[in-house]
Amino acid sequence: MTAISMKDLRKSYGSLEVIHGIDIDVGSGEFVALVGPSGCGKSTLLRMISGLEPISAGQMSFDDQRVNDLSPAQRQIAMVFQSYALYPHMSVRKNLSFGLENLRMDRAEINRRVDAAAKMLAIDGYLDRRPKALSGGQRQRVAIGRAIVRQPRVFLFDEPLSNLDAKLRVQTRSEITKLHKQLKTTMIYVTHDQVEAMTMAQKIVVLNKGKVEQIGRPLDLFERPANLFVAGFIGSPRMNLYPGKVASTGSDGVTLDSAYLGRFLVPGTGIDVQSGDDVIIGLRPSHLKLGPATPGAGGGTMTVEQVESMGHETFVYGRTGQSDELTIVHVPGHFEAETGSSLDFTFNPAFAHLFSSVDGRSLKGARM
Amino acid sequence: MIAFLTRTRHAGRFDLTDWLAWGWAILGTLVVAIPIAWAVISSLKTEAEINSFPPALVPRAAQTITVDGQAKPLSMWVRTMPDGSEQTVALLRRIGLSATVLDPSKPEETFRVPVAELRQLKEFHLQWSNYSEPMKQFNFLRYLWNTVFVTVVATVLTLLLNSMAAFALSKYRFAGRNAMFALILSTMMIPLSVIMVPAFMVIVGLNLADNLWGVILSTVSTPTGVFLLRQYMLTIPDDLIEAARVDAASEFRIYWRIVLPLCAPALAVLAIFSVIWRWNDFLWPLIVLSSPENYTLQIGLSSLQGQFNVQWHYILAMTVVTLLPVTVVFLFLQKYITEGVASSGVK
Repeated sequence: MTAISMKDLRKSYGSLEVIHGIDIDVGSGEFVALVGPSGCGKSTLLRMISGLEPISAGQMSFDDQRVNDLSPAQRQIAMVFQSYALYPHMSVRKNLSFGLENLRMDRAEINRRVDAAAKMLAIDGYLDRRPKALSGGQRQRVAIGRAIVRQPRVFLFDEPLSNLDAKLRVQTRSEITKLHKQLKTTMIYVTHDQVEAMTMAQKIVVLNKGKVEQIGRPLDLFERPANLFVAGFIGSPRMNLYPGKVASTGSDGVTLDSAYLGRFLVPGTGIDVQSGDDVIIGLRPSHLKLGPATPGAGGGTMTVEQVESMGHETFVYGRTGQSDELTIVHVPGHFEAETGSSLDFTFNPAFAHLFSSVDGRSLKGARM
Repeated sequence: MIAFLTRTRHAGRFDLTDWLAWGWAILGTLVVAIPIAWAVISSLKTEAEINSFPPALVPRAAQTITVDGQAKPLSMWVRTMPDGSEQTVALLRRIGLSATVLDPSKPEETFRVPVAELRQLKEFHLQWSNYSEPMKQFNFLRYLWNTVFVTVVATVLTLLLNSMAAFALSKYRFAGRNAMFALILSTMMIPLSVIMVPAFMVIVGLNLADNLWGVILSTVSTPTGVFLLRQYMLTIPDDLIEAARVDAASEFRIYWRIVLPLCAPALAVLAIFSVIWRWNDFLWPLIVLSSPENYTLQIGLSSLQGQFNVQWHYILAMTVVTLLPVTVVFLFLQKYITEGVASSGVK
């Protein structure tokens, strides 16, 4: 149970700065996911937390103890690598006990811990096998087991599910969540897959280009993205974005004009715009409905390009207007449409997100 | 096995490719195997038989007989009489073109016959004393022990030192790493004969002349070994080393428990090289070692070759003995050469 605090953390390679001052507080026992596109610095940040990568500037503390210059072992962290990094020449049992032997732990205690972890992860059947003889999912669990036996202060996961097939990924996802509930250890989890982050983490840190874009609970990020980047990154498929203009502002909300969606009123107060401002309107696919626009609601028309039906839900991909804005509509249940046909869609303006077309920040402070 | 050996490029047809492949394989085998086979066969011949011409394939020795009234055993010959019948005789002495022989059944009667009428009787005979004599005479066991000592100690040290250097050069990032590696590699291009004198002076300065450690210490760090191991270690994923670091392993423990075991195939190759190098080493030990009790086998062998006579029967026998350990080491370690284990734990 360890709280981690990062203050103005920076990392540079020579004159190239890759992490530009990051402030994150991780509560004791919290499950935090670091998400972001490739090259955003999330893995580097995780390695800085682990102690494998030196910190160029700023402060990293575990429970108010400065750990900047401590080794991974001294920080008492455990890490699960993307490649699992199991020792290929050692049996599963040896893989699990290697870290404990390094701590010169009592043999009986080592065996007790290894057996307990093996039982917990259901790998006790193949303790004598080499990693080579295990399947991907089993290797994954051995890697987690190697982290568990150490009883670390912090668990670090570096994209641990990316080498698993889809079915196993879902299963392991819930296993890791269960593990966190059981152990109540602080966990930091790096992933580029926002579904993993949304379903597992209690708190998500969205990183982009070495900076924190937003920190918040999964649903907060989904419902109140702080900027265009987070809006586009969180949610699958991604949010529909349309250019628009503020026609007028009033006490009941803001009236917007869009070449794609028509004119509609976004209710709410405290929307930070002035009449005549260019804005970007964001709409989640699930907030769009097929059908003609009702008075007071916004709506548009799209030319269908592709329909993806999963049986219980359907995504309709299409283009709106002449300038080819991509529109994705989420339809519950099975739905069929001809490619090239025209479909009307409508939405409740209350669900619309507004972003500045200048810097991308969210203009809607309040709940939608 | 039969199916493997009779495989051809096209099923059921023996075309040019097969002829060339088989021809090349057979030629290569003969070129390599005939000298060794000849050495092994000849090492079992008597000294006279080795020098006789034409040479015989099978080791033979002259038949002898002990005759009453003669102190030494006499050699047996067949005499072809002028009438064509043959008689077995024992040769007493031979002067020029005539020889004095006697009939073994009537030893008191000697007669002179022309040499042209005589043909020597030989029988199959393995001259094991070629092996046993030098062991006694030439302190062979002492040389063998010296060579084994030099080979084993030098190989162990070579593996240790070179793998440590390779570990640092492949897994740590530090200023001048590549320059240092290039420097190590460049020493590969300097032959022993160039540095022989200064190297010997260093050995004398260290008071290691005529000392086996003088032979060992100057050969343990090899650029070939560092290069071989470094290239292999580059293929070990850094994740493994970082995982060990997270697992609270010290740097030495990472080297000893993770890197070394994963390098086993490369280490085996280097071990084979090192054993062969040290076992066959001649020039450097010859320079460093001066007293016979410090000789290695190769120098000991050369001492069988005097200024005026060469004791081929001993040289051949001892050569066969010196071949054996290297052959055994190679047979034992060769399966490691092709075996790769490093990549199996990482997907």
